[in-house]
Amino acid sequence: MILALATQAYATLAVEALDPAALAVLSDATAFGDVVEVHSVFTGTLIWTVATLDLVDTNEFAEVWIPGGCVGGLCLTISGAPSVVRGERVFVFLRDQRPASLGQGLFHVTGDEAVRDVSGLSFLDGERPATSFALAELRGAVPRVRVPRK
Amino acid sequence: MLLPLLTTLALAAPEDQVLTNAKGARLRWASMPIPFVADPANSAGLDEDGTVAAIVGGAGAWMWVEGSDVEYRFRGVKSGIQGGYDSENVVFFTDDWVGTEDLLALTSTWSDDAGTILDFDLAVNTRDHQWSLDGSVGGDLQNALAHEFGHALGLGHDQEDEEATMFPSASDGETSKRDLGPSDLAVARWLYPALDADELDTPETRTLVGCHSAPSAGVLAFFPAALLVLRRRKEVT
Repeated sequence: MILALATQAYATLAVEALDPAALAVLSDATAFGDVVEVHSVFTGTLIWTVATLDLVDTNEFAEVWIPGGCVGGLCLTISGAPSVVRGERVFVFLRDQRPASLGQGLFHVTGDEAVRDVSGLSFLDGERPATSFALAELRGAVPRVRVPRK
Repeated sequence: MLLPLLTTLALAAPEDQVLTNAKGARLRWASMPIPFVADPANSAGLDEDGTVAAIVGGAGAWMWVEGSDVEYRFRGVKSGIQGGYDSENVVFFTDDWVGTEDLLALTSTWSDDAGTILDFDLAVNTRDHQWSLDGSVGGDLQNALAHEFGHALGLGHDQEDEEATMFPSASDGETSKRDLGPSDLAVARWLYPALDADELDTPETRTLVGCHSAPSAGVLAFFPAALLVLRRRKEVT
């Protein structure tokens, strides 16, 4: 279903507008927590920004790998990739530890509201995704990821 | 009273449409031309000659903009392109897509901390999506690449102007983004301003023009083909 729809979209990072239910289909896990550490690494082919989340519901941490960042004076920018800052609370739909559909899959959480930045993504004709959701809607989507505490 | 306000609004747009790196610096190439190579091999069934034409056409959308010195230079076909930071600007198709399947194309822009662009990689997802050279099936390749080449210049999205190549929405089979819209032209001129006619008259700048600067209107008068390209654009320049 997702694949069939996705063939219609394109442009930048050409994506399709995904609601939480569709993101859940695209994801293999979710993580909900406070960003306690952010650093970037250069793997030789890409620079990744690695955010460590202190998960809200468990005594565990999770790492989220976001493409882009700066290391040693070299920066990689990918339009549509989300950004995070230390101290904020986020909810992330993950695929292989990366935000699913880049900026669509990472939400900045304040109280009961979750907001995402999709300004760097392109969407199918006229379909602009909602950017603000109730946190409860996100949390009901899929099981949360579990990563052992370091 | 109203006119100054409108002017202010119009002028505010270009700088807001420029991508920034993780340090917050605006992305911009320090010099022209921007060389690139491409590997047209693809699993989408696209004719390779036609694919090269679409790639060059996508880059060409940003060239010959009066008042801007943007110049892409196609250096030819190269096989086995993988991307990554290697000071080689590349366009390639891949079935080994690293992102989720909903993403169709991805432009990675490498820069220094100050925002000077050093390298770009433009990858097209052929694992999950259909492409065509004429908009008949799936996404029109040149239409999408014109947008991507805008990102490779450091441009972000224009959220307001639906006529813009950098507008973040495209429909199946759409080809209108092959040609720049007024706001694309405005950002290109703002980010990469060409030398004006007076500057072109100085001996020092004649050398620059010969190397990597877009021709002024006066220079264009000697190149009818270039004028034809300008005429195709949505905005009369």
